[in-house]
Amino acid sequence: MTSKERFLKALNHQKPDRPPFNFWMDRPLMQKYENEIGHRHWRVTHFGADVIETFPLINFSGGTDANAWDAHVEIKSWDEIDNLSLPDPNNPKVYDLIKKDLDEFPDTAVILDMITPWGHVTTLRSYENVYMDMYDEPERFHAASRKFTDILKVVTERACEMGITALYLMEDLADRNGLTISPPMIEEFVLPYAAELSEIAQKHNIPVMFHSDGNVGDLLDMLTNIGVQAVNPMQPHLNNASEFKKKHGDKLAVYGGLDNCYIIPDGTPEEVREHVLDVFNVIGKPDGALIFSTHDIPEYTPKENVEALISTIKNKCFY
Amino acid sequence: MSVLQEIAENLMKGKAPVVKELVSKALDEGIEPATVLADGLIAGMNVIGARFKKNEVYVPEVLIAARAMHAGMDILKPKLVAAGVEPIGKVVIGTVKGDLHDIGKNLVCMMLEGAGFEVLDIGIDCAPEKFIETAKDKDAKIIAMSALLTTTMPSMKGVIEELNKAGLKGIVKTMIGGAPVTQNYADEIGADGYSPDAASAVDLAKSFL
Ligand code: B12
Repeated sequence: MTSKERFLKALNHQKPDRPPFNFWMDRPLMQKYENEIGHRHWRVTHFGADVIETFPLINFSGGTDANAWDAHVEIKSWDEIDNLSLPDPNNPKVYDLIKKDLDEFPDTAVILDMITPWGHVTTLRSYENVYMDMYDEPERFHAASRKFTDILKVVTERACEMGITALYLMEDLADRNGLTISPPMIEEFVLPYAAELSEIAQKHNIPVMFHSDGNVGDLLDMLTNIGVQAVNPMQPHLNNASEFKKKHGDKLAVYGGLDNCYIIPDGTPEEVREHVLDVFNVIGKPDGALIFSTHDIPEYTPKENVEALISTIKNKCFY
Repeated sequence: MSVLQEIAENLMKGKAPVVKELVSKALDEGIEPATVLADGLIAGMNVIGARFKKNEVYVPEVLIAARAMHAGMDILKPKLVAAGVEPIGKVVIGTVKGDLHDIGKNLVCMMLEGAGFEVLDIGIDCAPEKFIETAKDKDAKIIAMSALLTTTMPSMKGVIEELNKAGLKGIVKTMIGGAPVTQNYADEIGADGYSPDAASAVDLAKSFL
């Protein structure tokens, strides 16, 4: 079974041979592994991870650095945003990385990271402002979201045609205490635009996944309503896994589920093994709807723990 | 509805210009500045805090309520000073070294102000010395620290160590918070208190008085 088949089976609640996996670390630690192993997709080539997160080289603040969360944005006023010269989604360069990843890894699940239109507006306006903008400047917020959505729709369409394995929408809408913005605001400002992207993927029979940090219990029904099939990262200290499986397990798979704060960085390799099996038993069973991943594990995580994590997934998780 | 209730209601809805107007009106009616503060602005902020804790309102609602409180305070502050109204306590608050996240910290500031504390906000990326010197200079008895990154949390320990070195252990109380911070961590580094959200941060600060 290829990684891609394994991944799609898990997303569709059909037990694969073993749970597919990916993992994330603090960036300096990832860089260290990359330097040692010598491949940008070292998680796949060296550790046998099943997923590659690829992304369009497009940025609304100029340049081609695609990760809106890392972008340093100087633009602050709405006038500047309204007059921003927007990137051209028909520029073939936007798709260079996606193409490279798909060509190089035809048997791996290559999913498209896509920050939602809300997130792009937020990056430009900054989090501090955006929370109040939704009260103060709703029309301008919507107008900007409209423009960005239209561009991202072209990107999504093109990436789907190129053969991405899943569309992975990303937005942080919760913190440890629950949602950061109210459900009506999420319904008004975030989801309609995300739904337009989701519809494109669904039209191509490409599954849709969603990332939000934090305690996401109150978000899950809203996500299934726009066609989301899997959620990430479901940090176990903030989300009760068995409750999730009972309430949402028939509709949602998990991409994540593993701890990144306590056991994986601080536990013994034996405790890491137990934790992996625990998550597997609670979320992975009975239907196989689990793609293991960690949220960013900290830099000081011992190598033995990383190895225990991966070897347990590969060798000890049987359906 | 009394003008004080109106202040509280409009503050909760985040109507800054209305709150400002109503505060002036209340003062014109001869209501004591301290009463306007306690039964108008603070009363409204308390309700917002309680609702925030219960997930009935969210970050944007707290931010606009706090903005309305500030609008009212602009009018009220000079009157309070003139009337000799003392804050219930002084808190030095900042986000620790290396960390630029301040939305949560600002909420804590606003709730503390809303509860009658004088808040000395030293901003983001604050070195231990900055916390300690400000506390010494302004004679504040509480230091509050925020960290949102696992990599910056250890800086909280640094502040506590420096504080102990300065002989202020037990005299200046420390409280910590932020997404990755836990009660366990507070115990481990010897902080005097931890709280998971802005509303309970107020109760915690009050417990130090
Ligand atoms: C907004 C945000 C940003 C904004 C910050 C804007 C600003 N002015 O604050 C920007 C974009 C600049 C940013 C940058 C970065 N961020 Co950031 N960011 C977030 C985000 C989305 C929300 C944080 C937030 O404001 N929450 C809402 C507030 C209300 O909650 P809160 O802060 O927890 O505060 C509450 C309580 O904790 C408590 N509290 C807070 N402080 C205090 C203090 C005391 C004394 C007390 C008692 C209580 C208390 O009360 C508050 C109200 O109830 C989180 C993800 C998330 N969903 O949490 C990531 C997150 C915190 N960021 C993260 C990271 C890694 C970064 C970056 C390194 C870049 C990156 N790759 O994303 C940089 C680092 C910059 C730096 N050096 O600090 C990570 C941290 C991971 C980790 N394990 O450490 C998170 C979790 C996202 C992630 N998964 O990657 N970020």
